[in-house]
Amino acid sequence: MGTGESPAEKDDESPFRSQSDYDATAMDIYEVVFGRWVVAPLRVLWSDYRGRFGLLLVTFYVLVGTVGVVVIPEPSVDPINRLLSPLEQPDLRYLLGSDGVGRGLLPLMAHATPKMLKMMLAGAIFGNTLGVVVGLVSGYTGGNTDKILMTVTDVVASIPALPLLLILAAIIEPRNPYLIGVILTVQAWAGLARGIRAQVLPLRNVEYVEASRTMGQSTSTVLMKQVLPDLLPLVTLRFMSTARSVIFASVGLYFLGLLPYTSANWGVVLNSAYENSNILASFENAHWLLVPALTIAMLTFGLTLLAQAFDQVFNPRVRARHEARKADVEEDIDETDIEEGGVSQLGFQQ
Amino acid sequence: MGYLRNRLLQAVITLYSIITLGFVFIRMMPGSPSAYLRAEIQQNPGAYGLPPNPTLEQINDVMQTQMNYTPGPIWEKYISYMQGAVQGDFGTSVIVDPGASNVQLILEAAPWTIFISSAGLVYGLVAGIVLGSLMAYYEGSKMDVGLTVSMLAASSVPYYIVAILLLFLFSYNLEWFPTGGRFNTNTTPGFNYPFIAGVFNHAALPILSGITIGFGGNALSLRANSIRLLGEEHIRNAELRGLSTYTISTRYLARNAILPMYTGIVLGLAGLIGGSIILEEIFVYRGMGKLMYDATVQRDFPLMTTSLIFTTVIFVAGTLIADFTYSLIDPRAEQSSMG
Repeated sequence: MGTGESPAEKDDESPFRSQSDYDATAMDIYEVVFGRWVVAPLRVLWSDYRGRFGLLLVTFYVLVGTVGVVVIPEPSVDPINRLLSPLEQPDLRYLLGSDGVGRGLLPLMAHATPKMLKMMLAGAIFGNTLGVVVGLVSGYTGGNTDKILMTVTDVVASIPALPLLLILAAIIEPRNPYLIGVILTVQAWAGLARGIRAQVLPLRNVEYVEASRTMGQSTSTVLMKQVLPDLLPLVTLRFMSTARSVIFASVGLYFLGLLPYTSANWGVVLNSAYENSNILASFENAHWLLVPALTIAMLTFGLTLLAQAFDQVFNPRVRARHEARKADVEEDIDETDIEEGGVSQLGFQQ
Repeated sequence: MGYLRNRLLQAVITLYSIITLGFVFIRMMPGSPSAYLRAEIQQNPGAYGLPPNPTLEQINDVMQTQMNYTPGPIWEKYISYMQGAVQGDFGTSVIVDPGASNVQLILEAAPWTIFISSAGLVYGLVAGIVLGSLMAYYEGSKMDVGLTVSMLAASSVPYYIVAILLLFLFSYNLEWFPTGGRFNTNTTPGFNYPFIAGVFNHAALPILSGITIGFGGNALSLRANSIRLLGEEHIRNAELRGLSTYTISTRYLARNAILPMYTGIVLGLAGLIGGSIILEEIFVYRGMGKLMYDATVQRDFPLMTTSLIFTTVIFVAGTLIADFTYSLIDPRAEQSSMG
């Protein structure tokens, strides 16, 4: 039993008292966090053909919505250059052709993008936050709170989305893109809340959750630190799909002319092409219809692909394979770096 | 039977809430409908039983009756509204078809919408199941990858864009199908060949666009279900027992793979009926969706809210039927809900 040893000596040998031989600077920690939450998922996404393509598509739209609007001139009416085909004039404005009143389609598409992105972002954040909060509280608390919240959720989920949106758009007449995004997801959160609750129910009695509860951590800490990370895959997937449904609904409502608009939207351009039946009657001016159609479809396609690929990021088996590959690479690097005093990340990976 | 009783209770709560919400919406309507109605009466007094150049008082009289204005505190109005709702009376249309019963208007339009929606749903399901099982069978092959990508693309293109492109291609340029309407106006409605052929001819493109709402997603989920099942023990066991491939694929695989899609069918139908608002406007198809669109554009709030309530009723009824019949299809569900 080691009775002859002094207590101090014993303490030194205890693994609980040993100290790390070097301190991690703030920079190192950021590096690891960044590596784990940004670089690694991006690498997994990039290794999947769907993820690569989706990432490129979505990044392209974000670039058009931020840098593109500065480079590309604002759309303006020009009676001379009506109904130009794509590439007919060597001008950036008419790269994608022009519409019936001579507005270039490229400026029209580009300048509608920022508003669209704002709508998607606001809608996805609002819809998902509400869904996660309701689902978490309902599933974790249980009892009467659960019953009441789920009854409300079921009622909201049973209202058909589009008719409800029509009425809300008519009553509120929203113009602010953020507000539009919120209105369009006023019903979408219910599905997520149900899904989250179903995932939380079994998690409530898992050992590590029970342990932190026993340790006296507050409910919000337990939910944020122990439960929420397990729900991340579902939330990320729903983030993409909510953003997609915001595009579907907003372009649809703009197409119908049921949302008040101040500047052109993809749906408005689509509608103006649809209203001109002489345009529809010939293939010559098909670009007026196809450009907005493709603009919408490419973005939704990009989001779908990204959502599919995110499945890989969260799929532990794929992650493990990626980690293994990364470890192999790191070992090689460590062997060469250690003599030069290179910092190994393994020191605080636990 | 506790589960079914709860579901029934839930349905009653949902219907009560949506009808109350309808009341709130009608109360919340901005000033525009009355302004719209006033302009309508001034433009066309004859339609409201007034002489040309009516006086302000005459207009106000008509407006009071048209807008269903009943004096009294708000709770009295709520009670009379609920009484009417229980008896199936949701008031009258204000602008779209002044004086006509909302329920009557919707019931006249509903069969057309249910016709194109259910046809779109059934074809979408069949196409999804066939393609999904093909993809699962040839998993990992070039065909699987190609089909998966095309299904992803199909499910990410909004259905109304498909509708416009179909209209552009098949109606305006190839002239195979009419550009709008519900039936051939030269035929006499009834049970005769030219009329029925016209109905199907006019419905073809709306149905085709409706198929695209669900079929990509159906195919992908069936593929995922089947692949997950293929790895399971009972399939292996069936193979070891020497059962034929046909028996395994139909009785062991297809049944279980289609099962999770069953409750999604109702959701699909609700999506189609909601989507009909845009589709019917594109194809000028006078169904429930077109009615809802007209009501929204003209700010006919009573008709709008009644349409919303009506679609919710269809959805709730559909969900109930799916829940009640699920145990017939999957005996395991009954056991778990009983226990």
